[in-house]
Formats: sequence, structure tokens, C-alpha cells
Amino acid sequence: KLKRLKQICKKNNDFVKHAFHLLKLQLKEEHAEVRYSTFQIIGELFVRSHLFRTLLLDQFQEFMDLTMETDFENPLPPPKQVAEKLKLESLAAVKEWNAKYGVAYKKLQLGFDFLKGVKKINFDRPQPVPAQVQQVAEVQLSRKKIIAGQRLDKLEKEMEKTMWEVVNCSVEIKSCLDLLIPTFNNDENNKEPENTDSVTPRDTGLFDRDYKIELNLNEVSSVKVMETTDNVPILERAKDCHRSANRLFIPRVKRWLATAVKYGAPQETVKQLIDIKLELERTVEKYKEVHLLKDSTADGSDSDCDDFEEVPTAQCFVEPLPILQPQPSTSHKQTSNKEDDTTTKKKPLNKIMKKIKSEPGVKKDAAKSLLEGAPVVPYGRDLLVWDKEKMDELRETVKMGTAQEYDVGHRFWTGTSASEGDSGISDAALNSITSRTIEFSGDFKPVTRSCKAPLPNGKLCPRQDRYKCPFHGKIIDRDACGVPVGGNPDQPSTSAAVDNSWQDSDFLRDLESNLPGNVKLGSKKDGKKKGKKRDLNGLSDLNASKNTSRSRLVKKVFNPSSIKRVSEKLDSLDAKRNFDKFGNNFNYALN
Amino acid sequence: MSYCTTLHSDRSLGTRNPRWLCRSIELGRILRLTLSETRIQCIPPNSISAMDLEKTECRYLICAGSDKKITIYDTWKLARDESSQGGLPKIATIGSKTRQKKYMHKSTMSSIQWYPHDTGIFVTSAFDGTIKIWDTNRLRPAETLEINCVIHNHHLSPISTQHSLIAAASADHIRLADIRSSATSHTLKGHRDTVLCVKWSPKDEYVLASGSEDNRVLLWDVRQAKAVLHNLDQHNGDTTASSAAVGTAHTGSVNSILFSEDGRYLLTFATDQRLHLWNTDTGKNTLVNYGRIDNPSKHRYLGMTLYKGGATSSIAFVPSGRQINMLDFYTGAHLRRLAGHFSDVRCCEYNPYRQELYSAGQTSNVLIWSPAEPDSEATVPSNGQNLAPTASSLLLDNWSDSD
Repeated sequence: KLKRLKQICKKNNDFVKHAFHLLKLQLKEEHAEVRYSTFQIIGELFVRSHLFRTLLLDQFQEFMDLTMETDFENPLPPPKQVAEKLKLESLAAVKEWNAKYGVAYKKLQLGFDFLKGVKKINFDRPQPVPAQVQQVAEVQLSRKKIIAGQRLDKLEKEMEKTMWEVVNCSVEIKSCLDLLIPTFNNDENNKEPENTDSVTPRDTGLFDRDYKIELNLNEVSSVKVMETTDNVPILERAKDCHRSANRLFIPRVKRWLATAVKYGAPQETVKQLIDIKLELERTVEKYKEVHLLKDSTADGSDSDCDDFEEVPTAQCFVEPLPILQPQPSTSHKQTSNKEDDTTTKKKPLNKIMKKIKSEPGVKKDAAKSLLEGAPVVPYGRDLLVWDKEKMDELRETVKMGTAQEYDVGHRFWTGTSASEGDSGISDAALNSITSRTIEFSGDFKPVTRSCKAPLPNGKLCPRQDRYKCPFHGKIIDRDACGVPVGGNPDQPSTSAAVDNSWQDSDFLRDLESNLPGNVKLGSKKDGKKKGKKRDLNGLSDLNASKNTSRSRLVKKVFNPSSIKRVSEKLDSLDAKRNFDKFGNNFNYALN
Repeated sequence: MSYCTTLHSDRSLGTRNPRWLCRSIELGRILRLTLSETRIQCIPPNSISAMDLEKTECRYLICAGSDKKITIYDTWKLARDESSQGGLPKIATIGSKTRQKKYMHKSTMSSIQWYPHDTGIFVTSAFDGTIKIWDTNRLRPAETLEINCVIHNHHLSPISTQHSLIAAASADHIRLADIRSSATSHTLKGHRDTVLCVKWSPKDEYVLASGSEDNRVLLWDVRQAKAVLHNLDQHNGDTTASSAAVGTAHTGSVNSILFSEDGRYLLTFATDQRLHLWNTDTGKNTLVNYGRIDNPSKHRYLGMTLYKGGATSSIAFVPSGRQINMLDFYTGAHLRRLAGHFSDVRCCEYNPYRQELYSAGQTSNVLIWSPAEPDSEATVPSNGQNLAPTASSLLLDNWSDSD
């Protein structure tokens, strides 16, 4: 095809002119692929025709804007990769042209100088990074460095100033603990002789050396310290230190550490900070293990306690009280006891209970086993009458109940049923009494399978949903690579086929003729779509990239009607709240 | 050449004015203007912000750089070999040495002009609010006038014999500074917004024209107390126009004005992309249609220039974006479009002796447009001997036989 074009252009300069104008039009197309192929043709013709060269150089600025993105306000159109390619290749071409024709064509030389000097394009390294972008990045980097330096300086100063406080705090806690608690080694020494004593079987009264005595020391982990008048100041000091360490020093050291790591402090500082932090935390942990015991006798001068701190071994100080289980209300005794104070509501129930009791032949064990298996249902009105099988009997019970219930002895305010007699209780009312509604919501089953549709980044969609993924549609079975398994992939196509059959042109025509008025169904839209598809001509579809899940969501979320709906809802809520608050206030009532 | 010979014979017979031959030759050359090999190249961030060609010999081109340097070039010598990159030979540069720094303007110069009668003096004005009068021989300022307002443009009367006033457009008024007393004498008030351009009339030494951002063009007589001679009205007093447009010359800020050779007409150019031609005697719009010409430079003086071809063939060179339009001054016909700059053209100067045009762009260099040899469509430009063989071969078509 290109050969043919060259042949045509070779014949006459008018053809060259015409070709140039056509190419110019194509170059303005908002599609990088179109521009790229146009640029290739231009490159072919440029090296061949003098007229073409002069024509192109007359509008060289425009050419540069359209292929090399020299105008920031008019960037190259998508797709991006092709645009990048176009830019690089056109720059390379200009360099080549300038080397060859620059001597004869002044404007080409000027353009080259313009690109080199003003647009700062490095032709030796064909990576057209705009100078401004580079500059901005450099400035940002230097600014970051400066900030980091400032922060580190500040950190150093702060550390110099207040490090001793932190260290002092941990040392103080430690020494307090040392004073309060004898060291573990001493403890062992004290215990060891006892143990050696116990080894001799005669003393312990054991027959055999094979016997093992296990001393469970696990519970010793919580150390108890008895508070006495003597160690009160030490304890208080330790407490103060602990509090300040918790509230002040540990967060401070943590903050230091974070800044040091973030701004790249030297290794030693970080190490030092970590050491300090660990030390502090360890001492605080140690302090936490100590349980303080308030000695009630501490006030009195108890000489025994004065000499040394007691370190009692573990004991359970708080015995949990046995929780009294309330007796089930089925016991006859209790109900009879309660008979006096309960309201008349309970009377029918008691009757039933008596009946149950009086029924013979029910073994207690069997009843128990039955009760264990029986479902537990909260008490309701229907239980009151559950055994009344006949309606009349039921009605009587109910009537009796109500009569007793509403018998207030007032002249006017009497129960309706009492005045109306038997007929007053309708079947519906009875039904409502005898039936019980139990809402069935089903059991919760956690969702186990994820959508697994392949994502552009190579992963599979991790969305777990019951029926439909908001991004990839209905969740179907997929294999490890995200390819649909089984007959599912066919499903959409079949549905489409169904749709098409509905949109069958003959059928539609029949439908249109049958319907009153000028009704057109679907066919026009279909035609438009087809036309668009044909227009693409092997070019990549620019609109395809726009059809993303995000854009679809945007279409739904930001469409005017939904925005209006939501804002109306919010407004009404606001109005309601305001009315509730200020509706009674005459100042606001006017608004 | 037959046309030329008839002109010659007409001249010898006395049927035509002798200037006719001269003009027709000049016109022919102007219409063949092409990019010359020579150019003044700036190191990219710098550019030429203003320039002027002296009127006595039309030889020395003075350029004010955006880097606050002033350079004088000799346009007669095209020393391609010795000075770098085939530029014009430099006569002098002021401001490159550190000891000269203290003389220089504090900010970019907005305009520069030779003293009309002599090359011994030139005047510069800058955005720092000072006007400096320079001694060319000593290359240092003889006088500095403080205006304390941003100066967008200044002008010295080309014909004055009675006065030596510098008209300076500063903020919303015009200051008149006297070279002799080196002090500001007048303030002309009348504009409502920043004045962008001022020009003395070449006909009457006391008449001054000014264009401003308030869309108005005023003609002043500096002797009168009232001062304003005419407020040019684009609708010639037609009251049907909207109230905002009454008494305005344009519907955009006027950033360039140009008197005709005889001073009877005034051409104005504004950001409404229009040119208007005015009769300076009556103050009426002549309603010549110049068409739409881009004027993207807002808040900035734009330097138009004129080829003085009498009443029949004057040509205005109008910078328009990246191009320079050649327009017939009196009829408004488009003659040519000179495209060569890759950034907006700031000002241009015409050399009547050599029929050359010098144009300064905003970011790149000053381009020199010189007339190409007649009937040389496919041959080398006039002064390109040293690259003759290769260049001429490059200009030929190169169709391969296989196609």
C-alpha cells in the first residue's frame, strides 16, 4: 500500500501536496495508533520529496506538538504505550533528519535546537524526561533530606537532654525491687536445706526413696509483698516510677525509636534506643509481677514484721462463693408458697400443674429423661392453654382467666368480655392466644468460596460473597487459574442467545405492527452498535479501557438521580432531627 | 527581468517617479523573505526582550536580553566564520563583567531605543521602574531616572527639534521625562488601566499615541492642558454599541501601536485579535478589515514594525503568536506569513537598507529574515556559498526507482 502511495506521489507535486494535507488531518486524530502510523508514512515521504519536506517544516511546530508532546496542554492521546513509542521514534527521526538535512533546511535546524535547548530533550539518551519533572523530583528529594536531618538533630538533642531521666527511672524501679524482694538466689539457698532435710526418709516418714515430692513453684511467679511502715516510702517511690515509666518514658522511647528508624539514624543510636526500651519494659514487667498486700497490722508496731519483708508463698485469697442456682419453678412447694403473693394470672397455671401432678403412671426418671430431651421454649400465653383441645373448653378457661384478671370491681371500667359473655371472645382472638409465632431466620452459614476471577495483576479476586461478586458478576466454580469450570461458562452465552431470539427482527416487526402507535423496539440501537464495531478497523478500542468496574460503579453511584435520592433522604433525616430537637421552640418553628 | 527594464525605461523617460523603481525592487525582495543562515543565538533560558535598529545608518542593532545584558550588533558585517554559530558580529556587550553589574537594571528591560538622531545615546527602561540614558562610547549610563512604577514601554520622538522628551508608559498614566533636565516633567492622566504602549507621531512632534489595558487608545497633545486630543472609538460614535464598548478602540487590551510613515494613520493591535487603522487627524476608525490575527500576549508590549512604502505599498510586520504576519498597511491584505519561531514572537525590526527583518522570540533566538534570490525555488539561499554542493543535492527529490 505504501509503495502505491509513493508511486502516486512520485508522479506529480500536486499529489504530494494532497497527500500532505491528508496526512495532516490524520495526524490530528485523537488516537495514538493512528498518529503513529501517520508518522511512519510521513517519515517515508520526508526522505523522498523536497516539497514534502518544505511543507512539513512550514508547520513543524504543529508536527512537534502532535507527535512529540512539546505542548504540555495538549498531551498525546491514549493508548499510552503507543504514545510513548511515537514520542521516542519521532524524536529519533528528528535527530536523524537534522543530521542529514539540517544544513539545507534552516527551520529543521531551528526546531532541533528548540527541542534541545528549550525543551531540554537529551537526544543521545532517547528517554524524554521533561526537565521540570526531573527538577521537581530533585527538589523533593533534597527537601526530604533536609527534613530528615532536622528531625535527627532534634532527636539527638532531646535524647541528650532527657535520656538520663529514662535511665534513672528504670534503675530506680530496679533498685526498689531489689530492696523489696530478696534475690532469687537467696531464696533458693534458704529452701535448699529444707529440701535436703526432707530427703532423709525417716524424717518425712516415707518408706522408700523412690517417692518423689513435687514442689510446684509455678505459682511463685506472682510475688507478694507485705506492706509495712518500713517499706512504704520504697513502695511509693517504685509506684511513682512505674507510673511515670508507663505514661511518659516508654511512649517517649518508642517515639524516638520510630523517628530514628524513619529518618535513618545511625546504627548505634537505634541499638541504644532498643536496649533502653527493652530494659524499661523488663523492669516494668518485673514490677507488675509484684503483688502488694495491705497489712492490717502494719499500723501496729509488730516487731516480727519490722525485721524482714514477708514473702509468702502462693495462696488463694479469694475463695469463690458457690453460686446459688435458682430452683426450677416446677416444684410444687414453691408455687404453693408463692400462691399468696402472685397475682390471679397464675391460678390457671397452678391448676394445670396440679393436673399434671395428679396424673398417675408417670415415672420420675422417665419424666426427667424426657425433660432433658425436650426443647426449651420461653413462657408464652399459648402454653397456658396448650392442652385444651376443644374450643369450648378453651373458651371457658380463657373467660375464666380474663374474668379473674379484670375483675377490678369498678362500676364502669369492666372487662368487655365480662359484659358480652361467651360470644365476646372471637375465634381470631382465640387463635392469637393459642398460636405462637416463632421467627425463622435460618442458620448462619459462613461464606467459604471466593470469586476467584483473574485480576489484571495476576492474582485471583479474593472477594467472598454468597451469590454475586460486585466486580465480576455471578460467582461460579473456577479452577486454580481462575478459569471457569464445568458448564457455567456457557450460561451467559445461552442467555445472550435467548435475548437474541427475543430480538429476532421478524418477531419484533410483528410486535411493532401489533402494538398501537409508533413503537420501535431495540433494532435501531443494535444497528448503531454494529456500526461502531466496524469503525475500529483493527485499532485498539479506547473506550474499552474506560469500561472498568470503577467507572461502572461511578456511573451508578454518581448518577444524578441516585445523588438526589440520597441527599433527599439525608435532608429529611436532618430535618426530622432538627424538628425533634427544636420543634417546640418558637424561634426555630418559623424556619 | 522584463518588468524591471520597463521600470528603468519609464524612469529614464520621466513618466514615473524615480522612487517607484526603488520601491518595486524593495517590495519584490520583501515578498521573498526567507530565513537567513545567520541568527543571534541565546543560551536557552535567556532571550531578547527588546531590540532596536538605529535609524541614521540602519546598521547597529541593539538588543536587551532577559539576563539584563545589552548587546550591540553590526548588521552590515555577516562574519559567519569567526563569531560562533554564524551569528552577527558583536560590537559590544554591557553587563557581562562584574564591575558593570552595578550600572545595570535590577529587572528585565521592557524596551530599548536609540536616540533618533545619533548613535551616541540610547535609552532603556525596565520593569524595576527606572529609565537609563546610556553613553554608547563609554558603555555606562549617563543618567538614571526613577519612575517607581513598572514601565512597559517608552518612546523618544523621532522628529522632535524643540523637545527631547521620553514618553514612558507606567501604570495607568504616561510620564514624560526630559533628557535635558533629566527629570520627569509631565504626567498624562486619562487611562483607567495599565498603559502598555506609547508612540510619538512622526508628523507632529507634540502628538503622542498610547494604548492601554482599558481597551482605549488616546491621542495626546503634550502642549495642551487638556492633553487628550482624541479618544479613538471603534464604532465611530455609533451609540447602538453596548455601553461598555463606548469610547473604546478595541475589546481587548491594546498592546501595540504603529504610526504610518506620514503620521496620518495609526495602526493598533489588541488582544481581541483585531487590528484597527485610525485617521489621526479626525480620530475616526477607517474600518479597514485586517481579518482575525492571533494576539496571545496579554499584559505585554508587542513590537510591530513597518516597511515604509509610501501610500501604496506600506507593509506592516505584525507578530502573531509564533508567526509574523505581513499585512498591507492600508488595505489590510494578507501578503505572507513568516513561520520560523518555536515560541511567541515578542518584537521585530525591519532594516530598510538591506530589506531584512529581525525578529525576537520569547524563549529562543533572534531570527534574521533576508530576501532570497529571485527565481531560486530549488537553489541555495543568497549567502550560502560554503555549503553549496551538498545542500543543493539535499534539496532535490529522492524517489527511489523501486517505488
